[in-house]
Amino acid sequence: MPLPKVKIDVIREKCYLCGSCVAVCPKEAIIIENDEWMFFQEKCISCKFCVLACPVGALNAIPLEEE
Amino acid sequence: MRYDVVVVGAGIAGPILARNLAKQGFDVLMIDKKAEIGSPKRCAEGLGIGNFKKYDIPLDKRFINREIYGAAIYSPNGHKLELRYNRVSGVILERKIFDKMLAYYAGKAGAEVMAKTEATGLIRSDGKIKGIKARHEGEPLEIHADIIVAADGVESRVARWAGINSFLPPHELDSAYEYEMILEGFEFDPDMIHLYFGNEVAPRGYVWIFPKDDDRANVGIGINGDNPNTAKYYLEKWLKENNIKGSKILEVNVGGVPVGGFLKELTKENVVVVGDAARQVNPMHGGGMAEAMEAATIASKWISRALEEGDLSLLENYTTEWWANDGERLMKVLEIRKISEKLSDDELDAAVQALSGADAEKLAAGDYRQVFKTLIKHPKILLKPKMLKLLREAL
Ligand SMILES: Cc1cc2nc3c(=O)[nH]c(=O)nc-3n(C[C@H](O)[C@H](O)[C@H](O)COP(=O)(O)OP(=O)(O)OC[C@H]3O[C@@H](n4cnc5c(N)ncnc54)[C@H](O)[C@@H]3O)c2cc1C
Ligand code: SF4
Ligand code: SF4
Repeated sequence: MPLPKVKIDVIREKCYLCGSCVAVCPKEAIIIENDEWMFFQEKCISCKFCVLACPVGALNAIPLEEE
Repeated sequence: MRYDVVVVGAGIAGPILARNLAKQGFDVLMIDKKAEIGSPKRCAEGLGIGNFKKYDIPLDKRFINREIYGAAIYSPNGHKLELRYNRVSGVILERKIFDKMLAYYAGKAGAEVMAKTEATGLIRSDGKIKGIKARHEGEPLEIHADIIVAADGVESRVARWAGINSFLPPHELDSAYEYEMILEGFEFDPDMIHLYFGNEVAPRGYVWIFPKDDDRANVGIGINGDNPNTAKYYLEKWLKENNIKGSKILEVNVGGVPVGGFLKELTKENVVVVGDAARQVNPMHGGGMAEAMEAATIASKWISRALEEGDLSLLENYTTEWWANDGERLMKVLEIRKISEKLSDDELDAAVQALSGADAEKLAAGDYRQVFKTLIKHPKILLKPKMLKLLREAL
């Protein structure tokens, strides 16, 4: 059963670029490069591990309409 | 650019490894994406005193904030277990200076060091890994090297690029949040580190006070990474419950600590993984600096042999040697952590009470069998069948 599809949003002002979300993402759908947090929807499997692991709550999972 | 070894990451593992290899005359380049090596810090800055001699690091007062004589452990209902030595047992570092000085030692030993240089991928050709692609101020660089070292910390991407599965599920991560702050109206002995346990205080982890002055400290928390609440939430809650005003905050430090087990394969082809990137952290207390130094020491030994003999398969000995020593030790610690995280607040209270009567020197030396033996005999524990069962399993 596929997980309900989400998009991961970052609140940039809250994010410390600590990399915890990068570490727990099974699909490398989040990377930090050049001091910038980046998300790749096509890689994301909507597990929301990143949302759980963030020490400050800078991430939100926004439900996506199924195509 | 061509080197014998390129090291990605100038935290703890990277500079120790780069220094060891440069000393032996190898051409080493160490890069870090940080513009200022060491900054920001993501650490409580506690390090056991024995590590300086063991890893040949000078006790330079420029990175030692203060000396520590032991630890005080507090149970949920306030029982205190004090493990005090009559000699210095550890130090609180200034990690921003420490990391930079470790990189300085690597540079002095002959390694090249490039800050503000971020690895962005591997160079592959003929089915082989030939080096690292990097960027410095937006300029792309191609760094060719015989051996690539992933010392890039918890967020490590280098290992994954090489095909090593270093994905860390959230329950294997501790989510951490820390203030370096002035603690007003809150008494603590600045010669000790202070650890507060409790399922409401810090699920699976603890709140720490690592003193940097009589009234200044790193005050932080680590909790299980799959907790629906954030580490910040629990730290704020603890501060409030202890009437500590958060009105003098000098730094906010945020990070993740891998505490759920270690990479099985520490190398792949010519890529060698060390430190947080290899998940080499003590899963009980989340300290990883000493572990990173140990891994870097073993890895540098086998990298040097592999280069000397022109035989990359010798790198696998790093995995074997690490697992036979630190790996085995830390797996035991992980087993103990898995037991202790199941304890209720009541059981934690009983345990701390029981241990306050035990041989503190042995406890402080980390003699876990002694801990268990003491616990098993204690009347309060005897009344708790679940705990007794857990302890028997551990012994
Ligand atoms: C809040 C907190 C408190 C802690 N307290 C303690 C403590 O008191 N005592 C203790 O022993 N341990 C503590 N730890 C753990 C300790 O900080 C780590 O285990 C230790 O820093 C690991 O060293 P390392 O060299 O493996 O990685 P790091 O020190 O994380 O270094 C990795 C380096 O790689 C760089 N890097 C990453 N990606 C790239 C890239 N693509 N290109 C170039 N460079 C890159 C980073 O900028 C960084 O400088 C704590 C951790 C946290 C989060
Ligand atoms: S875990 Fe949170 S704070 Fe850390 S990099 Fe990810 S979004 Fe930012
Ligand atoms: S939801 Fe899962 S797959 Fe998607 S970015 Fe977060 S951790 Fe990665």
